[in-house]
Formats: sequence, C-alpha cells, structure tokens
Amino acid sequence: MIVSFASGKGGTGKTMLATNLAAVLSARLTTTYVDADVEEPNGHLFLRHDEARLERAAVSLPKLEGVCTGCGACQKACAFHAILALKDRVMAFPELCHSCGACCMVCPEQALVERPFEIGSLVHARLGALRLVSGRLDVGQARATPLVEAVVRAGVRGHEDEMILVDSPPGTSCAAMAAVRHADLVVLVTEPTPFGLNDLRLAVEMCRAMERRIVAVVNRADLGDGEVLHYLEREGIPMLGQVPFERSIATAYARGELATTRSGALRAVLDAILAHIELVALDGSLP
Amino acid sequence: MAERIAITVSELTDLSAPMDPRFGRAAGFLVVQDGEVLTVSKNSAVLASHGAGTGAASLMQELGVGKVISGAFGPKASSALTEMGITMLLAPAGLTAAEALERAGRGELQVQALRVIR
Repeated sequence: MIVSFASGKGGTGKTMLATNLAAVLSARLTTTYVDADVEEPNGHLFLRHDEARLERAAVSLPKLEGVCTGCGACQKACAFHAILALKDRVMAFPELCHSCGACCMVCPEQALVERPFEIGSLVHARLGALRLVSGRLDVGQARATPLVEAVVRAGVRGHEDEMILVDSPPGTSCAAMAAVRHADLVVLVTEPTPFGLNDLRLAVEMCRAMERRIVAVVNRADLGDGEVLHYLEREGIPMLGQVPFERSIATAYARGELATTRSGALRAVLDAILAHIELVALDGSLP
Repeated sequence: MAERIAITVSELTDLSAPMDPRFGRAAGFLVVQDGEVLTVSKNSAVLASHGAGTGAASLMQELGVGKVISGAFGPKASSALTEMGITMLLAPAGLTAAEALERAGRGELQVQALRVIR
C-alpha cells in the first residue's frame, strides 16, 4: 500500500510525521520510506543510515546529430515551445523540454535523436528493517517532476505488497502531483492557521481531481483558530488527529531525532494513522 | 525591400495602440514595413504556462521580421532571437506603437545585446 504525506503549505510537518511513522511501522511490517521532496530532501536527517547506493537519474533531451534542413517539423511538434528550428540547426531549451520525444519522432532527416541528460540521483539505503529511497535533484536543475516519478517508481517496484510511505514535495505543482498520483491514501498535513487552511484547500482540490482517498492531520494544533477543523468537517474529510505544538517534538526535530518515544500526543496520532491504514487495507471502499 | 519591424502591442488595433512593455507575454504584434502595418498578429503564447518567450520568438521568425521593438525581453526570448538574427530594440514603457517606431527610425532606441555572463 502506498501512503503519501502531502500538504499545500510547506513546513507543516510532512517529514516529521512520515519519518516517525516509518520508524514505528517498520517494526511491524516491511516498510519503505520514499523521500520524494527531491528539491530539498531531508528525511535522511532523521532516518540516519550509513552506507548508501547511488544511482544517477536522467531524462532524454533532443540532440542534433545529423544534417538539419531547417524544415521546422520539430518546432511544430513541440507543445512546449522547447525547440526552435533555425536555418540549418535547432535550438533546444532543456528547461522547457518535457522529454516526450515528439521532435525526434517527426524529424524527416532523423537528424534529431534522444540522448540521456542527468538531472539527479536516487539514493538507496537501509536502516534496520526500514528501506529508504530518496531523490536528490542536482543543483541548478529546474525540473523536479521526472525525478519524483523515478523515485516513487524505484520505491514501489518489486515492493508492491509492502508498505510504502512517500514524503511529498509541498504545493500542488506537477512534482507534488507525481508524489501522490499512485497513493492508496494521502495524509494531508496542515496547521490551523489561515495560511494552512488556504493551502489545505488547494491540496484537497488536487487530490480530488486525481481521485485519491484523503485524510488529514492537524499539526501545531494549539496555535491559530478553528477554521481548519470546520473546513475538514464540512468537506467530510476524516481528521485522524492533532499534534500539539510541543517542546519535546520541536527539540527532537531540531536535533535530527525521532520523537515517537518523547511525545505521547504524537504517538497517539501515529497510532490513529496506523489504524486507518489497516482499515484501508481491509476495505478498499472506505471513504 | 525594406525591413519588417515588429512592435509588441497591448491592443490589437493599429499604430495608435500602446506598446506592450513585455515581449513573450505581449497581447500581440504589429508588423510594419515602409511605415505601413502589414499584419496585426495575436500572441497565442500569451497564456502559456511556460515557453511564452520561445513561442513568441518563433512567431517573429514566421512573420519574417528583422527587428522587434518591446519594453523587455526575457532570457529565453533573448537567446532565441539572437540565434535567429533578429535585432531587439528596447523602448520605454508608456509609448504608442507609432512613437516607438519613430524613435527607432531616429536611431534612439537601445539595442538589447545578449549578455554573456560566464
């Protein structure tokens, strides 16, 4: 089962919940923690492992390797204006390219060919029973989505019948969508502030558009106002628990430690998520 | 034959239209030759989430222009237009298309050169 931790707003506690849940869950079931927040992966700060295997990830980009007649077929085929045909050559814009390969397919001279272009790394590691897969986008790379897709695929492939926890990038961009696209359950982490509510709404709309099953957890629950709770109730989104704004959790997090044994309140929320995961596993028709 | 010059405009009318201060996301383009408006072209790339600059640049190539007048050119549009051999002329915002064209005729507009910073 794939459970993604997502949020519209950044810094709401996705990694805190996902890493702590991964630690608790891996004691019972074969579990993989996938860090899909490839622009700023930080799960490894809490799930600290020694050895890791690095795998480079690449997308394909068009490269002119034959004779260009300037016919413009590639330019017409590109939906993203990522390639321009000049008189005797092409000009490609890698940051606009979606690696669909259409330009190479339509080139009548077969002068344009797809060539791999490295954008980041996949890091494979183990921490006791827990399997870790994380993505790290190279500095200077603009497109995170293909790497998010690759890291989720690497986490899931061959482990379909096990527990996969995906730590998603914040927001509702293509990269965030790639991290929740295959989730059987999305845990939306929010905070009870106007900012939290605004971005929670966006995340809910994103998940509904993708027909994902959603539940919510409210972090720093004793700050802000009650609007988030009202909203969740109105929308019929199960609220699995509230993590208080507690010094013990903040201290552990700042030290790069897990807080599962330090906060009874956090532990209760983790147990509620585990119980819901079991329900989803038993009954695919749950809300 | 005289050179074709494109001017970014925020209204798809004539030379009295205000110049659009942005190239890639301009509402449209007037193409002028010998002081006459040849074409009024809508910018189909204006609402694109990405690639507006390169889209507008490819339109310039299709329209066969040698110079473009606008308020600002983005980095991708700049490199595309430079590669295409199309000269970019920078005009201050607030001018009409006719005024921008006049200043270009008097050689008063600055040419945007591609700045190679490393």
